[in-house]
Amino acid sequence: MQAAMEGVLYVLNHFPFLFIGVAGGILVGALPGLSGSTGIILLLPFLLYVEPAEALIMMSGMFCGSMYGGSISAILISTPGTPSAAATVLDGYPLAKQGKAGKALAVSTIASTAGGVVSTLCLILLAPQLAKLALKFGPPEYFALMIFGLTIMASVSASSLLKGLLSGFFGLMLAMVGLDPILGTPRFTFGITRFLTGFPMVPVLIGLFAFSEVFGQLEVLGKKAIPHVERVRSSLPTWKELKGLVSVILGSSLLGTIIGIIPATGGAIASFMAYNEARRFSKHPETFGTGELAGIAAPEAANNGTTGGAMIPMLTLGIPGDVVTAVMLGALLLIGVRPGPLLFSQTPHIIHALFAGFMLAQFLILALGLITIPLFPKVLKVPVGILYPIVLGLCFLGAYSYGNSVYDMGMAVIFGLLGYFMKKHGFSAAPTILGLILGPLAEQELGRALIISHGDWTVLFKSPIALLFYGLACLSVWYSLRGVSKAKTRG
Amino acid sequence: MSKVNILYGTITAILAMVFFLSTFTFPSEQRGLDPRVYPRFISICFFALSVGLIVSGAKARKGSEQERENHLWMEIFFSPARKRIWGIFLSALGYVAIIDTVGYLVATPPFLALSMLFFGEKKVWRILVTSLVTTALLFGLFRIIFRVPLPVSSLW
Repeated sequence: MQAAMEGVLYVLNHFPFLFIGVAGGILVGALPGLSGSTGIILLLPFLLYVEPAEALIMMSGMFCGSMYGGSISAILISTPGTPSAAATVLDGYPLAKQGKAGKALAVSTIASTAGGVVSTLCLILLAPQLAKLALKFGPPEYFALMIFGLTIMASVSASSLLKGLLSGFFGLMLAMVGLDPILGTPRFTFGITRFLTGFPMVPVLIGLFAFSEVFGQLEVLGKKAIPHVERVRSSLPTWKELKGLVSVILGSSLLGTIIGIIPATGGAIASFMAYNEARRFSKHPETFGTGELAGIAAPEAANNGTTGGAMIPMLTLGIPGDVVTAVMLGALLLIGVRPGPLLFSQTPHIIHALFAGFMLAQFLILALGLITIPLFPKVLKVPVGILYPIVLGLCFLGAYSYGNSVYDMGMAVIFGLLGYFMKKHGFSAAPTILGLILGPLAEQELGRALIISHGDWTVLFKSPIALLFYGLACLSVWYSLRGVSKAKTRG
Repeated sequence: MSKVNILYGTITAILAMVFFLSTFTFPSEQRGLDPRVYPRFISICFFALSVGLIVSGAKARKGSEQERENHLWMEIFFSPARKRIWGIFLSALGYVAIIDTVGYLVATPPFLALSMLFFGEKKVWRILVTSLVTTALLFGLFRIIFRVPLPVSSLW
């Protein structure tokens, strides 16, 4: 209890970091084209200069805020700000067209907050237990865990499993450039001194996620002509309406949390599942799609429910639950915080601050969301000619401040173009990042396991926990292959 | 046939081969993990996936998704968006090339102004104000508050 209070006090003393994270997240989520992962990348230049706990609070705020922010454009301009808000369009936009955009936004805000609170409670209850279990892991178990993490590459692939795997292995190839982790000898440097330190993580992240997004926006410039809701008046749902939504919100929040815990699922899957379940259990399923409040509450509670869930495997095992937590994992490693069980036992104050920050972020979303509803249409009217050049300026500074080097800025631009072409031709950048982050960890753990066992490879298969992770890895691959064959059957 | 997949597959296969061949120059180590084992395993998998992409590209039917990608590929070089994307990419490279010489404060406003033009902004006052104010704000934030040693001109 005392630790919890200390966490809350820490967050209140560092409130501006939470505010910047949440407000920035809502903004980034609301603007189509920018997502939570881009938001965290835009935070990178700041994260390098703050305390680890402050950085985690900011990133958590950005994660939760962006997940909620996606619903704003989904409701007002029928364009989900993030993929997780795609299901919200189905009933949100029809309500906005009926002149009830204010009520739709209020329901989305309340449901998002509830989803976030339920999810945070699960995070607080489950993460320390899982971390205790993970303390028993040795190199063979960690290696198996990394293999499981790497199989997520297949699941986060965009349209093609083959392209997703190729993209992931491209990340593993990039990660090998530099020094051998065991012997320290140079490898794949091709005589270039700069390559001795490997590819710098921040510029690669900025390039693949942020620069590529800017290039992509240039392509769709002037193509969008969406009917825009010009004015929104604050309008809260009535008590009767809210009472009718309680079961939908609670059920969807729990569903979202569970889905969030499963690596490689994420908000988009959770929101569509919750929407379907809400319609299935509704007494009037025929009203869904015409402006039904439950059709907004269910996906929004579910997608914000995934936030705390996705943090559980990331914080306790170092396995990202989705693309945003993968980027967050990369950012944490950069600021010297390695997620895993030791984070809980050695630096509990960081974890307590994170838990408190995550919970307070939900209430900040509620306050900011309800107060600023009339401003949302104005936010969506920010000219792209102003927004994206500013994003470019921030990206360049982020890349530069990582190593105070112009070389890193150049790397970000080159990886930006590479990321743009990858996206353009169906190669998702997320598996590349997973490969880049998890590849070196897997190699290190494999090396350690073999040193301990004097080169006996069977050590990798002797532990029941390791076997469990191999089993989960096989399941993950099977699940992805099944998805591909189903898609083929559907034509 | 999907030329895009064949092209990507060929590039990545060559990359895999270069990496695999490089492992022959690595030292051998009997204790623990031999430094050649992991890179070879990754290179072989990468090569196999690249060949898979080439084969899938060669097998692609007419009117299939891959065929449409060919169209997209052509768009990259011949669509109106092409000029803007390549323009901003080259101006970004130019910005990186000159920033060490002319300094952050001199290089950034013209780069931002150019980017705004590429994004279709036409109002001159907006371009001037945004590029100057953004540069000043970012400089103030990073140089003064975060104490990041931003590039200064080596000319004066």
